[in-house]
Amino acid sequence: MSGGDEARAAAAAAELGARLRERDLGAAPTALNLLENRSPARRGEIAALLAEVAPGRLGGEAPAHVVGVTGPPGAGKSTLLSALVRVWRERGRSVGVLAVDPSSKRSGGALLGDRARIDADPTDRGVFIRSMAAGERLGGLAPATRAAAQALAAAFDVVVVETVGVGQSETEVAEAADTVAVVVQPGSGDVLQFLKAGIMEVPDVLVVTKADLGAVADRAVRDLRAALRSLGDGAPVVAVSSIQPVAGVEALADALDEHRARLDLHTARTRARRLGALADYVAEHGERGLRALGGRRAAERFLAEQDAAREGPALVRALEARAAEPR
Amino acid sequence: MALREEVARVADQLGRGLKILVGKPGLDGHSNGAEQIAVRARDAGMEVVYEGIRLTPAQIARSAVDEGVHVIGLSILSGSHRELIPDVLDALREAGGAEIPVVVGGIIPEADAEPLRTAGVAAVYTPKDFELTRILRDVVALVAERNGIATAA
Repeated sequence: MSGGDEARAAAAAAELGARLRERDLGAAPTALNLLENRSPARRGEIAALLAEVAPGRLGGEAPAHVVGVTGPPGAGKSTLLSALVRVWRERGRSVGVLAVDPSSKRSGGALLGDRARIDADPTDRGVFIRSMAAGERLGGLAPATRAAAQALAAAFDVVVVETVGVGQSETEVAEAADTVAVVVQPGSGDVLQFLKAGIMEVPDVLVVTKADLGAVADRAVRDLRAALRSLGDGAPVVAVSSIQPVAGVEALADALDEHRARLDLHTARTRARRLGALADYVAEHGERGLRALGGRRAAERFLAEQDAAREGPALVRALEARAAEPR
Repeated sequence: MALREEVARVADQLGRGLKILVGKPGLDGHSNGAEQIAVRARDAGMEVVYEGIRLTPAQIARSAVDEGVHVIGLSILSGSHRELIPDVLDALREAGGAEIPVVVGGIIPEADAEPLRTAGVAAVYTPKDFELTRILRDVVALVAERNGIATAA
């Protein structure tokens, strides 16, 4: 691209960001098409878009509630989301869903199946669903997911990041979301299992799906509560049935809201921006890049000294400049 | 060039994964064909949004636009392709996705293929077209062509 073309493209990207900031939900698909673009030539445009939805431009943190929903395959995450989206819409909230599914290690391809289960009215502009392939990055999040969540958070009332998680990979979604709901299905283990699995380290709310199963679901709720007691953790456990007769979904929406109300949003989002920038930096420059910063701890200390409102791409640039400094 | 390499090459040019929406419009639950295509497309390296069965034209159009897919693949075995497929194309125009190419496969008589193409369908596959790799090659070439990507040497 020539300089003039580049400037025009950046201006168009900034315009997309501005539309999101003005809560124009129709800008979401085009914005996501850009944010998912991995071509180095488009980085300037991505930075221009994200700058428009950064706290500095918004006059504070993005108003959305960013909710992470994670759990093992088949636990009922997308069916639950279908029911949750309905409750949020009844409460007058617009909802953007980022559904992340695994990529095949062999072919790089992905079968993104959440859309078939999340039942939303196609004429309702207040719901936006986007499937994302997790790509090569370990940890459950697609490379563009954080940026996408950040952009959507400027426009939507609720932004959901849905990932498949089985124990170790939930930390990334925990870093990107305000509130994390971990979905557990009945019959998937006793107290020891829950204590052992890294999954208990991230949830703000625990959800037991398939409550219509009865006794086995009650047992899962009791086991989870016992495990949480052992850990000294006060996270609520909510049992839901996402299919008819639907039960517990309103209570879950309330539990998510209560967590968000207690949250120091500025601190949580600042941390998310910094950890996200570090993850992006490591994805780009690898362990060698991390060593150039003096290791992960040193990198985190450096980020902690940066302006709290700086958005991801600016922080990545700061890390790159830091790594290039002679030592 | 192997199909998987061609998909990777086109995706690289696109800047993101080659994304296809696969679904079945109308009252038709016979999903074997659609699933075969979805799995083979994934194995070829595509990002496949599998939307499922019994979809309305409005659902398909809205999903395609929201998902940012490069192509839509519809499977239809119910015999109502002459009504439903043009409806999908209309819905797509209405949803702002007029530029997304649509390919259709299923129990479609030869005589119906030409009218569908005239209506704006990019390719029609009848029961005579059973070679999945060839169909997917066509799909990749279609996406390349629509996005101004030169064909492989």
